[in-house]
This record gives sequence, C-alpha cells and structure tokens, in this order.
Amino acid sequence: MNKVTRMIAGGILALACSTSLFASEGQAKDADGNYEIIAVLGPLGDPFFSAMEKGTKDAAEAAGVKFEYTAPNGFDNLSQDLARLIEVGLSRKPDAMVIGNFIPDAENEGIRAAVEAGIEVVVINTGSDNWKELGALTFVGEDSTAVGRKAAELHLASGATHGMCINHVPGNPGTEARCQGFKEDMEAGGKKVTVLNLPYSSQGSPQQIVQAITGALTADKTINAIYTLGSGLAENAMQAVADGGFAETVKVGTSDVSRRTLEAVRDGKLVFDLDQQPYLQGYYGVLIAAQHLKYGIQPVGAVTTGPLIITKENVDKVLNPEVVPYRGAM
Amino acid sequence: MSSDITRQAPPATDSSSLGKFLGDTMRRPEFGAFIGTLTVFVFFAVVTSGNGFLTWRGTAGWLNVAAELGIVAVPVALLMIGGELDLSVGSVIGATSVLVAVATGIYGAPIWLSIALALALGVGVGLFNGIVTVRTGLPSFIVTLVSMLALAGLALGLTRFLVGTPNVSLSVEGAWRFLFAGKWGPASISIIWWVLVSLVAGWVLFRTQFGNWIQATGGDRQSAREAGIRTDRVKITLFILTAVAAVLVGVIQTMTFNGGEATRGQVYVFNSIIATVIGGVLLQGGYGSPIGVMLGAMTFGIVNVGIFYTGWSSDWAQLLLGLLLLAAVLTNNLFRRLAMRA
Repeated sequence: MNKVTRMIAGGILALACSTSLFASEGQAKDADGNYEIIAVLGPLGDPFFSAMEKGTKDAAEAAGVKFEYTAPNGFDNLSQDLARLIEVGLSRKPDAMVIGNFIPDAENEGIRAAVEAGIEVVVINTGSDNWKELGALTFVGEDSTAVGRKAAELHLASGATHGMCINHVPGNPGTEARCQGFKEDMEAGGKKVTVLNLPYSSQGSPQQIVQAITGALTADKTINAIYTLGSGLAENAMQAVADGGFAETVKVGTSDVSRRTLEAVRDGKLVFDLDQQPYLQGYYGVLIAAQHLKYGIQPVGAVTTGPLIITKENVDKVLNPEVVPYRGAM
Repeated sequence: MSSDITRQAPPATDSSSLGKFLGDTMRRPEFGAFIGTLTVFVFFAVVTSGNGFLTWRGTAGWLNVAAELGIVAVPVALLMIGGELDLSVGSVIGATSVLVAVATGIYGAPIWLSIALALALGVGVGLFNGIVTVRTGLPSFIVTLVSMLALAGLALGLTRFLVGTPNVSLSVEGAWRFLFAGKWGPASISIIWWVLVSLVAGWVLFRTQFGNWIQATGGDRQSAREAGIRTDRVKITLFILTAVAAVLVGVIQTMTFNGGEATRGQVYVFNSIIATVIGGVLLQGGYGSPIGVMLGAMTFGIVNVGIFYTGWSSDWAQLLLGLLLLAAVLTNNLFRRLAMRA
C-alpha cells in the first residue's frame, strides 16, 4: 500500500467518524436542522381525529418542526395497531412523540421504551391517570371521569331521575370512565342509572343503533335522560327519541361535537354538548413538544382542554362556519 | 315460492296427500330459515312480554333493520349461489353515502345527479370485481378484499381532501326523500324496497333461464360451461347487482340519517353473510333461496333489536347471535339433507 492510498483511506475513515459524531450529537435533527416529531393518534375516518390532526399540523407549521401524523385505519384492531405504530415511530428515532394513550395495556410498554430511548413524549387526549409514571413531559386533554360527572351534573340540573349512558365502544377505558363518572354522580344525587353497551355488530349501522336505543327506552319508560359519548351516537339517540315519541319525556346530552349536534343544541333538541376540543389537544401537544426541544420551556402539570360546556347560550359562536375545521364538525 | 306450494298442494283431504304436501313444504330451501325466524320471534315475544316488542313500533324497528340488511344480503346470496363472495359491499355503502352527501350537500349538485353518479360507481365496482375475478381466476375473496380496501381508502382520503372531515351533513326533502327515506309512523320505505328486491330475486332465480344459469354456475362450473352457459357473464352480472344493491342502501342511509360518513357500512360485509347463511344459502354455492335470505335478515333484525327490548345487558347480543347462527346452520343442514333425499 503506497502513501497516497493510505492517506485517502485515512481521510475516508476520519470523514466517517466525524459524520457519525455529528449525528449522535444533535439527536435526529434533519438536514435543515429541524426537530422531528411523530404522532400516534386516532383514525382519521373519525371527524374528531380529523380536527385533532389539523391541530397537530398547524402547530408543527407554526413551530417550524418536521412532523408526521400516524394512526390506525379504524377502531377494530386498536390495541395491536397502536402498539405497532408506537414501535415503528420510536425505531425512527424522532426527537419527540405525541401519543394518545387510548389502550394503556397495549401502549405503556412502547411509551416507556420511547422515554428510555431519550425521546420526549407528550400524552394527549387519553391517559390523564398515568402520564407521570410513564415519564411523559405532560398531558393535554380531559379527565374522562370528571367529564362523566359534569354530564350527570347538567342532567340532574334539568331534572333527570333515570339516566342512561350509551357506551358505543365497550371496553375502552376512556368511554368506560365517562359512563362510570356519570353513574357515580347520578347515583350520588339519588337517581337511577342504566348503562347501554352497543354490540360490535351494530357499529357503522345507524339503523341498528337507533332501534337499539328505541328498544331500551320502550322497555324501561322511567328513563328520562340520555348521555352519549360521541356526536354520531347523539344524532342516533335524538332520532330514536323523536321517532319513538319520547321527545316530551327524554332529554339527550352528549360528549363531542358535530355540526348536527351543535344545531340540535341551538334548536333545543340537545340539552348540552361537552366539547373536549380535539384541535387544541393536537395543537398544544405538538407545540409543547416543540418548545421543550427548542427552548426547554413547558407547562408544569397537565393541560386541561375539556369539557367546554356548550349550551343554547353559547352555541352561536361555535356554529360559525369558519370554525368548522377546528371543531371537527361539518 | 308460494305459488309453487299451491300448485303442488293437492286439494284432497286424504292423509297421504296432506303428508306429501307437508313433506314438500319441509323440503323447500326456505323451510329451515322459516323455522329459525319463527323460533326467535316467539322467544323474544315471550321474554319481552309487556315491554313493547310486539307493538307496531317494535315490529317496525326490527323490520327496518332487516330491510337495510336484506337489500344487500339478497343479491349477495345470488352471488353466493353463483359461487362467489363479495366483501366490498360495506365500502360501496360508505363511498355512496359520502359521494351523495358531498356532491349535493357541498357542491350543490341536483340529487338525481348524485344518485346517478353513485349508481355509476356501483356498476364500476361490480365490473371491476367481476372482470378481475373471471379473467384472473383469483378467488373473489381476494379480489373483493382489494376493492373493499381500495374504495374505503379512496372515499376517506377524497372526502377529507375535499371538505376536511369524513362526516358530511345533507338533508333532502320532497319526492326523493319519500322514495328512499319515506316513513309511515316508525316504518321506513326501505321495507318495501327489501320485499321487492327479495321477490324479484326469487322470481329470477326460480322462474327464469338466468336463474338456472346462476345455480348451474355455482353448482358445477365445468358442466355449466360445457352446457353452453357463459358463466363469466353470469358472475359479472351478479357482482354488478350486489354493488348496485349496496348503492341503494347507501342512498337510503344518507337520506334517512341526514348525511354521509366515509367509514359507514363495513359491518354489512359480515352481517350480509350471516343473513345468507341463516337463510340457508350454501357457502360453497349452487344452493339457496332469496326468500330464505329474506327470512335470515328478519332473524338478524329480531335478535339485534329484540335484545334491547328485554332490558338484559346487551353484552349478550353477540353470544346469542353466534349460537343462533350455529343452530340455523345445523337445522338448514338437516332440512337440506331431507330435500336431497327426495
């Protein structure tokens, strides 16, 4: 080996060393020096998550970070899909991840692994109970049990004596907690509560859901208040109430908004609509992660985005067509 | 068909011809399904006593559910008798609902144009499913799985791209609403569509040459071909009919529930197969009756709605449906064996 080749080889080696040093130094900044954030959140087929996605993208643009939204295609294989997406996300070594802890049993392991790998994690939407012990930066969202309690309070105030909580995703900790909070506070007020779990074979078939609710109302005529956990369900419940001739006796309130639920609030067919503001959850989640990475600043403790209580008094502002994409309602 | 029964039924009073009549009836492909429907109806009538299941509202409730399912399940049954499956019906329902809601609700297209576009979509999906299945020889399970996924993705992506959310409102009034979402009290006009679809399908299958071709195609494709039947055309036609039926349900749902959702309808894939199997259609093809499937859809409706009139925990609904499916398949097997022996 002559001198020249040895020099070239040495040069290449040195170059290789310096690039690898450079890479490990500045975490995973991309070529432009931007931080990279990956989100693992809910399916975009749900208007709720459509609004959340808009929030994350707007925040990423405002903060000047590289961002990607990943999500399962639907709700039917949620545990496995979420666990896999978190794994894929962390193997790409982003600087931060924004994760909805919808199914803690499936996701906690991945979240812990991400934190151990030095990835900053912000938990949003679901996971108010355990974000601290997982080592997340913060939590942005609502306390599901407290939302259920708020629904009970509003129904009790309008004279409910027998409430029915309709759970369209039985087994999901978030929906179970809302029904549980509703049940506890209705019962604390000395009133009765029924929980109606809708079977999987009715999902995506509004006719079956309407008839199921009609059946439950017909079978027990003492039910005079319904609490639904999603805007689509609220529409189905209102239809069951109207078609079944229960309009005089049964009042409906819901969590989460759509244009039709907001119009129903305006028209007095829905007594309240509890908005957890998914756009804000996405926006703050990404913004907090970006500001922490860039400046080392962050909120202390959880950030509460819900429930924002929408009733006849304040619905007009919410119904402004220009705010539609921010509400997730069309 | 009832006309069949009356023609075969002798006017006589002697016991041997009465026995023959009973035997003939029992051997009809619908008989097992009829017994199933009757059993669950009586079961729910008894356990919901006084809860309103037997009222007009309760009856219309399960009929509405059965109707929307039956409109899809009956053509799916013809396709299964012809030896193929269609998993894309759910995506067609969802895509139709957003197509109509976006075209009319957002862009202001006249409703007839939106419906025509949806029909074109249905024919297109049916042609794709049919031609690819026939030309490539791939199982229709795979081909329609592809169109199910592709169409669901396309509907969701396009809707979100165009309007920013997968859930679009639309309210239609007047004659079009009456035609697809008209109501008499709690009963929907979809029940009439369902009965019409079932009767026409029954007539086609048992009274026309095309019906013979369907049964021959699903029973023994090779001999059907040798007998000069264009089995590929039969199959393509059946795929188109299934997709068009899904479009009809999509339009009915969009008007009944005042809007479209890209993700709606997937549950119909499974539920339509449940209804056809309860209705006595052979999964292997070649055997079954649209009237049986009509009864299968009724059974599905009675169980799925009836359970909520019992006041029991609805967690049991699926268990009951599973057990029922097993019972239905076993009874159908029994009666089919009787029929074959005849």
